[in-house]
Amino acid sequence: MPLRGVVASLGLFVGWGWVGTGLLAWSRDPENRVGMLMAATGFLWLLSLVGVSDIAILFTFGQVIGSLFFVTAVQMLLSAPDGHLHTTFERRLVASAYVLTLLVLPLYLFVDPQSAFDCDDCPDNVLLISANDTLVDVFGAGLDAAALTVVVVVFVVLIRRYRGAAGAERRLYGPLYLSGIALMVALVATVAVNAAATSSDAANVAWITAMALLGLMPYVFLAALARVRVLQGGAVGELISRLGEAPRPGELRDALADALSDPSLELVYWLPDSTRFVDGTGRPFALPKQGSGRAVAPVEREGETVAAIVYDTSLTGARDHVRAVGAAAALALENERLDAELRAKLEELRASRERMLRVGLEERRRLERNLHDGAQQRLVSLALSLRLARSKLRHDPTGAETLLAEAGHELDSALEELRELARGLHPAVLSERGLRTAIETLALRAPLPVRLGPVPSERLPEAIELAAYFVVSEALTNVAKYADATGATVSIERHNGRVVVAVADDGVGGADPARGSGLRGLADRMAVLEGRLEVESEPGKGTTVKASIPCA
Amino acid sequence: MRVVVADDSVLLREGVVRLLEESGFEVVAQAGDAEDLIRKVGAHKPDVAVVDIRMPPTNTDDGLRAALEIRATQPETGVLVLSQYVEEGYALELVSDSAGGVGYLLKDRVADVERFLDSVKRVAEGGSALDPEVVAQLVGRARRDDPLAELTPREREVLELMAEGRSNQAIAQHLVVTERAVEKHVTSIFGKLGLTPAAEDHRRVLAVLTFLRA
Repeated sequence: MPLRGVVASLGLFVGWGWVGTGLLAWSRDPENRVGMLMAATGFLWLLSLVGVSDIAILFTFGQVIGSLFFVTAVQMLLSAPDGHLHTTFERRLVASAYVLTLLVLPLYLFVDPQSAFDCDDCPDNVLLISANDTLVDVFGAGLDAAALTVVVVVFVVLIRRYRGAAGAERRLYGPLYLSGIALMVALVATVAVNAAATSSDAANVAWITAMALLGLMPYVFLAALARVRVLQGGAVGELISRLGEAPRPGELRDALADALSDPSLELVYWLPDSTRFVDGTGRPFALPKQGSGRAVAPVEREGETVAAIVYDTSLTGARDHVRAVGAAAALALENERLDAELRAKLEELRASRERMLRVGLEERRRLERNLHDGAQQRLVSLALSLRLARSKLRHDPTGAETLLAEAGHELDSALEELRELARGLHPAVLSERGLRTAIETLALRAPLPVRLGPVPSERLPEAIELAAYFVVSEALTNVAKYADATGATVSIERHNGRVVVAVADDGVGGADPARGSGLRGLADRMAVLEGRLEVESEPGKGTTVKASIPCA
Repeated sequence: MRVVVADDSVLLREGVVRLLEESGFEVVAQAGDAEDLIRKVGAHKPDVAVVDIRMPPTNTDDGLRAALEIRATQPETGVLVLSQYVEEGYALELVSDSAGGVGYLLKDRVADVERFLDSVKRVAEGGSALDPEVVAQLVGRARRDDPLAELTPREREVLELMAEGRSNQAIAQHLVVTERAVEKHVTSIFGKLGLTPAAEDHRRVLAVLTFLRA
């Protein structure tokens, strides 16, 4: 049989085709394993050529690894277009193909004296332990059946893949899928003709056809690659001319989506101030995770990130094409970025206005409740006491006196509550005298010694004075209620365009700002002024409440 | 008469209890929240429950909801709801099915001892007691082609007192006229408003209220 000669002559053509195309595809898109698998297939193919050697040990080695290239080729076909096997089924299929070639095939060689090549002048099979025709038949039939199953399954998967492919995937991988399908058909034909054993010529023709198809595959892919390159070049050109017409918001995304044939494409813009990406409406955007089928290609202009293109890895071609499209649109993206930045600012403003409104409503509700449940109840009960006292005045003067004394206490409490309420609304001393006097009053009224640090004596904007006052007031209330402290320190300092209010105690610590409406209320007050509230409260180390408010 | 008093403010509750007891009512239980109230009303079956509208657990209108529940499950127990503020919606919700055995008063009325005790008694006996403020709001509502405009000032006064749930006798006492004169006014009012006269006071209240809220 002259087949060893055919294998040797076809060998280089097939092998280098796979290696070359694989390396090209790999360098073009390093994150995609398709190119790597293609190159690996080529190398394994070339390595299997030692199987035509006359030296027994090389000949045997060639037999052992001789089918491995076929498994990597199958893995490559199934991994297209993004370089990953898509389902557990596919992963199991590929894994069992590896097991079959690397573990089961050598077992076969232990018992088959003649090896795959049915030739007389072949060297010896060095793995042969003991020739056993029965085992050869059993093994041979099993291997043939398993290989046939793999081929048929791959055939079905590829047909599905081809029919499901659209856009860039179809342009780039469609021809590859088709040639893969043809290869599977040729392999089935080879097995069928062999089984029928009508003529060895027919078997040889089928086999050579299969090898030719295998050899053509990388060139088919190369041609598709070249065609896609031309198309992509055209797409970038078209994009540039479209951008020349100054697209309106939203049109830029559409233009890029067309250029990359990815209708799901998203554009996100970089906000250097808040170091995050936002979408076109200014809302924060969470970048997709790796392996989610979507990838992110940042777009830079003059060394600064301006935006990023979020694209579907299966639809869009290679990363460098996305980069090229991004670079072409960088100026337009920069403009849209400024737009998005503005929208983000507006959105923040809207959110803070909403919060402010909510804080206001909350405050009014609290106030209504305090009035109804506090002062009003006391006054009603006071009126009641007075009426009862009047009715007792004549026949039970002592009882009337007791009632009147109670009424007096009620009145005191009601007045006290009203005063507290008014102060909670707006501390008069603050607007009349400013922060320093107001904080001194708070310190004096606190039920524990309060040491005053620096407090600005000049007047600050009213909203800031009020916020600072409430931070101190709420924090001191908390110290008195929960901290079990022997003293507290209050300071208000201005630096770097901010007013920093700090209230520290030496109490038990362990305060949780997420719990307790008081601290949350303060945090909201801070948010409205674009300030920050920090609470440090390690158990046993006291609590420090620190508020920092921007103040020009 | 047996009374249950429900208010989460101990201070006020004690005051009301003292007032009721000194006036000859028997306070059989006190409750501090809506669930407690429903339990105690179920256990003691009092003639009337005096209920603060705002009570735990949610501190919103728990008292009102408890009152509606008591009206539905135990119609023989009257419910007098006390509210911190006038809310016609609440009042109308209470009397929507029947004005018998219900009352809605502003909390401040407690201090007007005589009237308050009268209201408690009326509600306990299956009558009604609506706060004058609520009635005034309903009467004062803007209406197109207002039929109330045809009433004389005296008739208007009588209408308002009727809406509060008072009997002819009480109205006569209040206005210092004879009961006979009140009856004449009432007939004239019903005629002008096109209402069918009702025998019982609480049915009369419902008819008047239905007219006023329409």
